[in-house]
Amino acid sequence: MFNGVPKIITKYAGIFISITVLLFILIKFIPENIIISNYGAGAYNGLGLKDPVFIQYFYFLFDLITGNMGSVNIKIYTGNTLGIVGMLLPETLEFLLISFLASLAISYKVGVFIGTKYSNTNNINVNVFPFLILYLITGLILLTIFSGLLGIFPLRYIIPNRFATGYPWIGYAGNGIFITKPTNIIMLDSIINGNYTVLIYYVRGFILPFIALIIPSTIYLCIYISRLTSIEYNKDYLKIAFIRGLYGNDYIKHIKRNIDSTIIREMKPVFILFIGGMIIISYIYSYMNIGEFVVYSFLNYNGGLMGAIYGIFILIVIILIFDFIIDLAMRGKKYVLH
Amino acid sequence: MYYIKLLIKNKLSLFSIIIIILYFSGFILDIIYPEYLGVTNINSILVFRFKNDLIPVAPSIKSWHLYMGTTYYGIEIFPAMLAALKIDFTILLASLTLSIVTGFTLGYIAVISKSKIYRSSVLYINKVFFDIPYIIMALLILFVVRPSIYGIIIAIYIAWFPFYINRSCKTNRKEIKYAFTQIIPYIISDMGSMFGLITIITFLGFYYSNPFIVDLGNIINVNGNVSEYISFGDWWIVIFPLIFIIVFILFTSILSYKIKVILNDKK
Repeated sequence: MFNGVPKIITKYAGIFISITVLLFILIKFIPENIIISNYGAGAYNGLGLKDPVFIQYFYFLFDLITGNMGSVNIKIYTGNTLGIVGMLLPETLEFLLISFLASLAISYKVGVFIGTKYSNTNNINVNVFPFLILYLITGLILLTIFSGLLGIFPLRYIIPNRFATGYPWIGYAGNGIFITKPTNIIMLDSIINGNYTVLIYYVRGFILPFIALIIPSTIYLCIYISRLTSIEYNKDYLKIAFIRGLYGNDYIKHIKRNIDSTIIREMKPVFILFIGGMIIISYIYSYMNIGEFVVYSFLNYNGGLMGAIYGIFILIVIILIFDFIIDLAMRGKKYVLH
Repeated sequence: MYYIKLLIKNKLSLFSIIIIILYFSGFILDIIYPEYLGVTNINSILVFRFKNDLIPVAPSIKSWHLYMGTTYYGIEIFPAMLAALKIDFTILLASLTLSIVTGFTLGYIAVISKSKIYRSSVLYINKVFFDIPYIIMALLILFVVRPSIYGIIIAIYIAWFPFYINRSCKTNRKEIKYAFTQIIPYIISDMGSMFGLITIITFLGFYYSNPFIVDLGNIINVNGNVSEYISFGDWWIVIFPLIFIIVFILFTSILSYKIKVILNDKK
């Protein structure tokens, strides 16, 4: 049952440590006075700046794990780094989860359909990198059409600011950052508190970023899955089965079973692309989540360092957990290279 | 020559080549003869101001300068977009060249090297880089080296060269003499991807030290007020620059795919 689990855990522990080392090395290129002014009071103790560099790394690692990352002073927020990341994390996870699952479900259906109807047995390789710019393109085009020209959806912020004063379960930290009780996920909280006005406004604010985020990855996965399906569809075993009438209309089930493991492995680069896309989309729509926070942190050299590092760290941890789950689910299964 | 002949025979690849050449011609003209845009230099976006109007003007056919309208400060979008190729393609070519040289060299050595430790180390470091989205990596490096043209070049270069290590490492030892040929399709599609990445970086506002830089992302950013302009219904300030990027990325991707198919058929 646990075959291969220790190996996967060791692998990801190693990657985790290596990434923290990389972040630490990059920070060491920043002048110390900037680091101190960014961290705020207690920088020497918190980051161990008086100790040798080797020891400083462990201070840094400890700070990352415990969230002791000083303070941020950026356009959208001023205060404790851990506090703001804690506020934004639930909404970030909800946005990622819903969008990614929706993208996967749509592309799987469409990809398998196209793959069986329109045969394309060319190379399976699709370059994932150009798809990042599609997030900027879809985000801005949808915003221009549906918010600018048609005025159907709001231009920015997930819910209107005025809701912060009207409902006791909603708090407002400024610049479109809301804190809701009890879960800090607006959609869930509005249902728990039975307030459907907020829910409707939330859905209106959510729908454009959601569509903009799922379009590029859905296009990519549709192309990938349709080619994969096509290759499987044209294999000899299926041709023989068709001639003998073995599978009837059940052939899709066999195709799906054979391509599933390859698709699941392909989720890793797609999810990384997705995180990159979320950063761009949340900036365009001022959608409160860690993506927007990271961009504004990067933009402020004198007050955003800790926010940028911690925000990136959280996003990378999300990626590693996702990859870990994929590896765990796929251990022992044969990976067919097409 | 054989591959080029095959490419030219295919109408779509030929059309892609022509489009890409047009973009590069614009880049070369921006350097050697900026007068074709009606200005003597293209160091600031303000040289493309139409009258001294601050409000964007809708597209018009009165003059080719106004075909795509004007954006903030009355900047004419079409000539400004063409001028933007100078900086964007300079960054693109510099970072692409550096990425290819570094990534290919490290990857090539890993393939031919008999040292398993070296090969494993290169692949492991690569894996670490791969777990960080390249946009995050580029922004992180840019934060450290500070925004400037050189900063953006370094940021994209460091974020990108691990991809070339990975691509080079995919080559078998027996096919090592064809290793560079195998990465040509990637080079073509990376031109589009990097052009997109440069635009994203400048769109996000990582060039506050010079808000008048002649760059596509900066044109779309509208001095940080893109939402306000969109809310006024000024669709052209966003749509035309985006089409300009889409066309380049689309045709580099198509050409890359066609080359890949030809190389696979040859195999």
